[in-house]
Parts: sequence; structure tokens; C-alpha cells
Amino acid sequence: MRRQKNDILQGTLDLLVLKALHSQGPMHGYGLTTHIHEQSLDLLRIEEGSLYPALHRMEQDGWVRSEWRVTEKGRKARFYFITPSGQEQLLREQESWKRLTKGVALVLREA
Amino acid sequence: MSWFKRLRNNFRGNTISQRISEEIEFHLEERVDELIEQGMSAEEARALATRQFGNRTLHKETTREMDLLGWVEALGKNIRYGFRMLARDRGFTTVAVLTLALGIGINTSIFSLISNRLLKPLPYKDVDRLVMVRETRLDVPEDRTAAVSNFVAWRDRNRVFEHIGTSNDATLSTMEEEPQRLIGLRVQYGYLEALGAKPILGRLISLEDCKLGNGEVVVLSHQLWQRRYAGDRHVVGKVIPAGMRNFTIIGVLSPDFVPFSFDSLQPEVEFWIPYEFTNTHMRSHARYLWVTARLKDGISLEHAQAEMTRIASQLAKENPEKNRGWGVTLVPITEAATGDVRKGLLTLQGAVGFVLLLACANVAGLLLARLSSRQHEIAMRTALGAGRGRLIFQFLTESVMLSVLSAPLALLIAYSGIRVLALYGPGDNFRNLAIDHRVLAFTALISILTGLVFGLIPAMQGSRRNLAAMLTDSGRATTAGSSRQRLRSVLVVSTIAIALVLLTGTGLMLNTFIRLVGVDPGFDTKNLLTFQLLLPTGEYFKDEGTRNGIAVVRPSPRLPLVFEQLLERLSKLPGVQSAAISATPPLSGWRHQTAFTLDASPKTGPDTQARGRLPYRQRGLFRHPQGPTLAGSPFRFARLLQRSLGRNRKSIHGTKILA
Repeated sequence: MRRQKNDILQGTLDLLVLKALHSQGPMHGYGLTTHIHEQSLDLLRIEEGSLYPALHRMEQDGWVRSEWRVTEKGRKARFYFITPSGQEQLLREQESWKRLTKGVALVLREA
Repeated sequence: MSWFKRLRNNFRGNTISQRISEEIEFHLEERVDELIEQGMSAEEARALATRQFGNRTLHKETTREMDLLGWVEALGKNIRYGFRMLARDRGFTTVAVLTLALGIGINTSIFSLISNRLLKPLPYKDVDRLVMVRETRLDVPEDRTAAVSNFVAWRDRNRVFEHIGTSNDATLSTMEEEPQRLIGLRVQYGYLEALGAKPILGRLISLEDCKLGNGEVVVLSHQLWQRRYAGDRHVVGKVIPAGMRNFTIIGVLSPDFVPFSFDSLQPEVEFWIPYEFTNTHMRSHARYLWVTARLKDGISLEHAQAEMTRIASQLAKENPEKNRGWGVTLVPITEAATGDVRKGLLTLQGAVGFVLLLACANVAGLLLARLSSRQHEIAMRTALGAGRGRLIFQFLTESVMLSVLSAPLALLIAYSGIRVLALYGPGDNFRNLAIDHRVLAFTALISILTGLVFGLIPAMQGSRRNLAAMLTDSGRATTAGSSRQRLRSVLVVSTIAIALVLLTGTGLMLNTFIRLVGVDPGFDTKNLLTFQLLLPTGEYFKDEGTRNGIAVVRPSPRLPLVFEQLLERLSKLPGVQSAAISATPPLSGWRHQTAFTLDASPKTGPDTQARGRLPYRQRGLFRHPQGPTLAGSPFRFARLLQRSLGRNRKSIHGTKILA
């Protein structure tokens, strides 16, 4: 079931998006996918289909805001900004991600 | 996502679906550019980008679900689509609508009963301030009516009631142009006041009127005033002759007043006369008064209860013979009115609830069966980007439409049900049933709920599809297989289970009923008619004071003679084989029989009382020619009586003497 796969990814997706917006400043959706793709040395590929609903939801939650801007190529694109509450969320998610990976790593080492 | 946010989304400059479209478009263009840079042709790049992006409609749908307008839009579409589906499959629609209408209709008619008896407030101002005051045995938690002297003590001593009064049966046999029997109440001062009765002419019954010898005054109901006096404004002061007494009219009550007496509303009551307490009444240990009271402003039920308990313990000290072991209980009038029927009505509602469940299970089964013929359609919609939520939404819309469509028919069925109850139901309980706003709301609510209940399982099932399998395999429907099969089995099993529960319940009740009806009363009940003869006190009876704590009303010496004459003339009527008179007709209910246990109390012994009071009780009854079973066993009826009276063995003597 496609939907469930997305649900598992969702938390991580939020984290990646917030981190990208935090470090790179305002970006559009396509920019986010390429940035994360490159930044992860081609290891991570965001499924486009889940990115936009996720962005929309994060905007509803007040973590990001967005506005139309014109790109260097002269195309109209929706740019996303991280908000203060998004910054907080990023800290929280980073923290929990670190704990998760640390825990998983410990368990794996033991095995 | 909250509805508020969905709502807010609609007021943003451009709708979300529009914005998502534009964003996706931009995304694809950027991707195409990139692919071209890598050396692809424009067409190839476009195709690849689109394929990589996946099902665009689905993503759009997912995002659009955050939009309330999206939902409303979808609902409209679903309804239109639903109508097409329902119209296409008329046979299915008809069967489903009829099944549901039956289930909802039956539930609605029973609910109208509940609405009428349990939910409709009693017609009094500040009805929550009204209480019934009852005496309670401290050892057996059973509420009883009150003794006369105790009622008087309560009225004199309490500081918690604004008014406290009591009422009892009364009849007037008027002898003007033609004899007429009127049904009314004897009431003590305080009763009408507590219930908030207002006279439109004259006045209410005063404390003075209730003094012995002052009682020949009467207050009329609006209805009686209209019927007998055609609404004459000068009716006050006129006299109603009744037997040896003449009642002067002192007032007429407003038309909206319905008295509450015993434990229910008494709409047939047409007059009120003072309830004169004699010394006999005052000395009597018998407890038979129904006492109604209104709490003073600012006095809580608990406070009043405490005060009355205090008074009760005083009374127990002052007159231990009469009052030891007795307390007082205040029961809110609404509770007193619904106490007995509540359980029965709720049981009934539960039973018809099962009928509705049965209807749900049946229609759910039909929907499941129909799913297989809709596989193609579902597959197509999924391929075109319908999400699972959207599919479930569609199915639920259709099932709710089905049950809502059945609602008007259900109301029609409920209305017929109510008419039937009013025509054939016992007593007055069903007379003024109506489909009011509460009943309508109930029907609307259960229609929608029903639709959701029977629609949910097929909806979950129908939307859970393996797309590839369905598209390749749709004609044969092999993959639907096991899980749907299992679901159908569950439905069939639960249908049978519910039907069994209902059948068993009905069977048990019918069995009880048949046994009750089939009890051999010891005589042939065929062609046996009974009627009631009410004779006015004064002419035929004399109040004789108390003997051993029991009120004795002595019949006038000429009463047996009157009865003999009456029987003789009745027997001569064409078509009458024989006639008999008794104090209580056999199998009429046991109310009057309680007197026997009193008679047979160990202290008094059965003989004297019974002889003194009952010389005319059973005249001719056992000479009835249709009673051959009785001939061999004259005490058959007495034994039945004894069994119903139960524990008190002494009562056997009482009934034997009677028989």
C-alpha cells in the first residue's frame, strides 16, 4: 500500500525538508528534491508525489510559509521559508532522529 | 486536519488544488529541462519526468482532501454519481430501501412511544419541583402510599413544601334527565395548588371545604363545563344533584390542566370534590393515599427528604403501633410517572434495534454481492487516481443515500404503526402518540447512522483492491476470493444470530403470554360478559368507623335485596342465560383482593370481618351453569387466589369463606 510507505517516510521527510530550508534559505519544491538528492550523495530520492502534500501539511502546521516568486529562468515557482516554530520542530526532530539512529546502531552492533 | 483549517483554506487567494497543479507543473518543467540538459529529446524528457512523478491525479487528490471545498465538491459529485448507480440497479435499490424502511419505521414508531412517555415533560410549571411523597417500609425497600393521619401530620409539620395534597378516585352518578356517571377525583386542599391548577371561573377547593360536612362543592374541568353547561359563564353556584348529595359548583379549571394522580396523568378526570377525612380515615392503619407536593423555592430534594425523615421518626415514636418501621421517600414526579414503563419501553426499543441491525446486515450483504459487479468501475476509478478515502467516501455516500431515501417510507410505516397502537393498544397510553420534532430528529439520525453502519464494511472491502490483479482479472473475480467470502460468512452468521436472539425473545414472551391466557380459571370464559356497577356512598353504604384498624363500610340492609332484584331482571333479558354479582370479577387483577390479607391478619381472625363486609360478594357466581369444572372443585378459584396472594397462609381462610 503506497499510502503506508509514505506514512513511514513522513517524519523523515519533514526533517529533511526543514533542515534544507534551515541551511539553504527559501527554496521551491523542485529545488528541495535536487538539493536533498545531491546532499545525500544520490542516496536519497524524494518521491515527488509525497513532497507537495507534505509541504502543504507543514504549512498548515505553521512550520513553513510560502509565496510565489520568479526563478532565475523567469518561471513562476512557489518558494518555501522555514518559520520560527519550524525551527523548533527541526530541533525536536533532529533530537529524536539522533536518538533513533543511535539506538538502532547500538542494537545492530550487538547483533 | 481540523475542519477549521479546511474551511480557512477556501478563503485563500487561489484554491489549493489550483496551486498544487501549478507547483507540479513547475516541478515537471524543471525536471524536463534537466533531462534535456543531460541530452534527452524534449518528448523523451517529458515522458520520463511524468512517469517518474507518478499518478498526478492521486497526488492532487491527496492534497485536495485538505480542502473543505474539495470535500463538499466531492460530496456533490458522489451524490450525483450515487443516483446514477441506484437508478441503474432498480431491483437492488427497491429491496434495500424497503428493508431499511421497515427497520427504521419500526424503530421510529417505538421511539414515538418513548418520546411520548419518557421524554415528553409532564405539563406542569417547574415540574422538577414536584414530588410524590410515599411511605416506605424500612425493612423492605418498597414504596407505598400513605396513611391518612400521616399525610395530615406531614402537612401540618413540614417546612419544605409550598403545597402538599392528595387525591383519590371519585365518581358522581348524576340523576338529571338521564343517569350519567362522571369520573373525577377527591382531593385535599394543596393538591390542585401543587400542580399549579388555575381556575378560569370561581375558585379552587379550600382547606375549609375539606372539613367534614363541608364537602358538597365541586370544581369542574373545562371539558365538563363545555359539555354540560355549554360554557355558561354563570355556572358557579349551580348545583349538581348526585344521589343523596348535592354538589355546588365553585369553580372551573383552565382547559390545559391535566391532573396527575396515582402514577400517571389522568386526562379523563372531569371534576374535583373535597376529600373529607373522617375520624375513621384518621384512625385507619391502611395506607392508600397518593400524596403530591411542590418543594418551596430554594429547598433541595435532599433537604426536604431529611426533614420528612425527621417527621417520620417523630410519628413512629408517637404512634409506634401504626408507624414503627415506616419511613418516608420523596420521588420526583417525573420518575414516579416513568418508573414502571421505562424498563419495558427500553426493552422494546432494544428489540426493534435488533430488527434494524438485521436489516443492516441484510443490506450490507446485498452491497457486498453488488461489489463484484462493480469491480471494473472501481478499478477504473483507482487507475484514474481515486484514493482509497475517496472510494470509501463514494460507497458511504451511496449507502447513506439508500437509508435516507428509505426515511420517508419509514415515517409512513411508523405512522401506520402508531395508528395501530392507538386503535388496539391497551388503555389510554397510546392515544396521543404523534410524530413530533423529536421523532423526526430521531428518524433522521438513525437513517444516517444506519447508512454508515451497513455501508462501512462493504466500503472498506470494496476500496481494498489490488489494482493490477483487478485490471487483468476483472472478469473472473478470482482474487476477490477468500477475504470477501469470509466477510459474507460473518454477515450471514450474524444475521442468523440476531434473528435467533429475536426469535428466542419473541418466543419466550409469546409463551408467557399464551400461558397467562391459557391458565384454566376453573370456569368457562366463553360468552361471559362483565360490567361494573358503581353505587354512590350514602344511599347504599354507610361509613361504620374502624374495627381493629380496618375501615368498615357497611352496606345498607336493603342492598342484598337490590342485588336480588337486579339479578332477576338481568336474567330475564333476552339472550342472557344467567347473571351473577361479585365484589371483584374473577381474573380482573388483584387490587381489591389485598383486603383479604388484611382480614386474615392473625390478630383479627378471618370470620367476623369477612361476614360483616362481604355478604353480597359472590352472589350467584358459582351457580353459573357454564362452570362445570367449578362444580367438582368449588375452591379452585380460591386456590388460584391463594397462590397469587402467596406467603400469608391465613389468607386461605379468608378466601374460603368468600368462596
